Amino acid sequence: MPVGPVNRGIYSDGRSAGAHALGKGYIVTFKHVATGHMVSFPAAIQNFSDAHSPDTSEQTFTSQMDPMIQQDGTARNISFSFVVANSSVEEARYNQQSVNLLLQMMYPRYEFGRRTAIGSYIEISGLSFLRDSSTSNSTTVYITNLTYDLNPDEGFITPGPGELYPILLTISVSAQALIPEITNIEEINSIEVNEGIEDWRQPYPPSYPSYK
Amino acid sequence: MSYQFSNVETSGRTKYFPLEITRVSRSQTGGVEPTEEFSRFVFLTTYNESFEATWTVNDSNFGAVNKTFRYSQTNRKLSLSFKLPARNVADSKENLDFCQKLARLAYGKYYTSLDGSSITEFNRPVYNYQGALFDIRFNFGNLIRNENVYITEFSFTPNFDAGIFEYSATPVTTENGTEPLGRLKDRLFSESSSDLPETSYTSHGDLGKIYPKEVEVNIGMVILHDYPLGFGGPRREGEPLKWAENRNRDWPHGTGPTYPVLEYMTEDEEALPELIVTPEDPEAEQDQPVEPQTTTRGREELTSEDVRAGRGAQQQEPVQWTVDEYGNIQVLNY
Repeated sequence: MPVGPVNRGIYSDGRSAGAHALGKGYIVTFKHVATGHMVSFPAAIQNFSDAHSPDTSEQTFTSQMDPMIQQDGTARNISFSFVVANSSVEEARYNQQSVNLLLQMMYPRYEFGRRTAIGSYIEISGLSFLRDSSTSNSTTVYITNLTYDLNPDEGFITPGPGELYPILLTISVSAQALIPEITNIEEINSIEVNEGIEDWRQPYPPSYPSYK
Repeated sequence: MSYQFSNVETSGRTKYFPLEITRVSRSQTGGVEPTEEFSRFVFLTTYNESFEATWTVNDSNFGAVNKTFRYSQTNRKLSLSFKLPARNVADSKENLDFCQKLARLAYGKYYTSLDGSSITEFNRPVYNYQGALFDIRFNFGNLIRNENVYITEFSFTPNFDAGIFEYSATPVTTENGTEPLGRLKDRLFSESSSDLPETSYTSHGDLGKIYPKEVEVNIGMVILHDYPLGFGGPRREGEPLKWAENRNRDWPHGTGPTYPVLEYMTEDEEALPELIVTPEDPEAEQDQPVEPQTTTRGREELTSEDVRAGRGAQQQEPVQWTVDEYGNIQVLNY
């Protein structure tokens, strides 16, 4: 029986940062779309940026004020960082495996017998200001850079020789988001019926992006 | 391991781990043999691993909401900095020696034969550059586990504010006569004399030299993996969601020998590729260039579509195939 997708929740023993996060619902989840593997962390967000950058080219002409602007779509770049805190050996080992799974999500899936790597989009859910629309709880991205940064000033947990776990580590994510698209007429009709918006003709949902 | 102040060494051995560097070479039997090894307990100040995925964005229709994104590969880069404090002259000398060896890892590999063809008319040797060093392995506890690395950056900064160990010519009278203090301490330390406690070796007899009490080192590297990374793949037949390495260990960072790995990381029995040549053949274990071979697709291999379309034996097409490194037959002209 092949192994199914992993769904790894956060560590919570009643005293940890995970317990507080569970109580408040502050949980960020990453899903590797190609495999279905999921991993969650307490959403101890340190910083966040959501940049919508029109892809434009400008041309100027003599004696004509203001440039001529041509726009070819818009890119959405997201970056944020969060910390993972460890308060016990058990929690540190659990979180190490969770962080490992997140780092592994930067790698592709292979088809057996073939060498083609299938890169995976990552679905990020749980951050209220990172949602595709008011009816969605997630945003799908491809991550361009993921960094794992130890904070030695906070100290380490050293249960035995050869094992070292940081008390605090920072994960930073830089990603480009996929913009949600309305792909069929039924969806447009449902917007008119359910949301009371007439003549919605944009390719993305009317509540995109949703920050609240 | 070379000398290190006893407190640091004891603490390192019982609780932490050293930074170990090994240069390796491939032996004739295909194994890996160390050619140089050095290590030291270091005081970590920064540790930053970066996983950079390359995605190409293809041009698509003008104004398309989403472009076409195509994944290529992922690079793992590591930036590491640490301090090397010294409590005495010997400690400082060993720190500097360690840094010298590390610095040399940033240079490529050169060779000169010293015969006539490699010496110019001005008696200068001619060096042939043989490329970057790809034979370096780093081991640093459960953070870097004997990984093959390529050094991209090295910097060495003595911290003079922390102080230095200086030369001392102060005359000291001993049973053998008068001797400069620094030289006396050098001699007593080299003889492992109990007359010189570790913390008293604070001056030396090397005129004009200073030994810093603290140095800071930054190293940047790219980690090169000699095993597959991803999910599924050639070592995971029938298990597309398991980690490709198939070694029953956590990756990239370890969790110790007693903590169980997650099920998707557990090791599967790996089917070995069939031996194509007979073992008696002395050439069997040597790599042979893979030549595409040709056979003919017979009637029994015709698909139902072929039959419906009336393609028969008279239209047999040659099928080119080869055997890849995993023993799988790869058809080249589907």
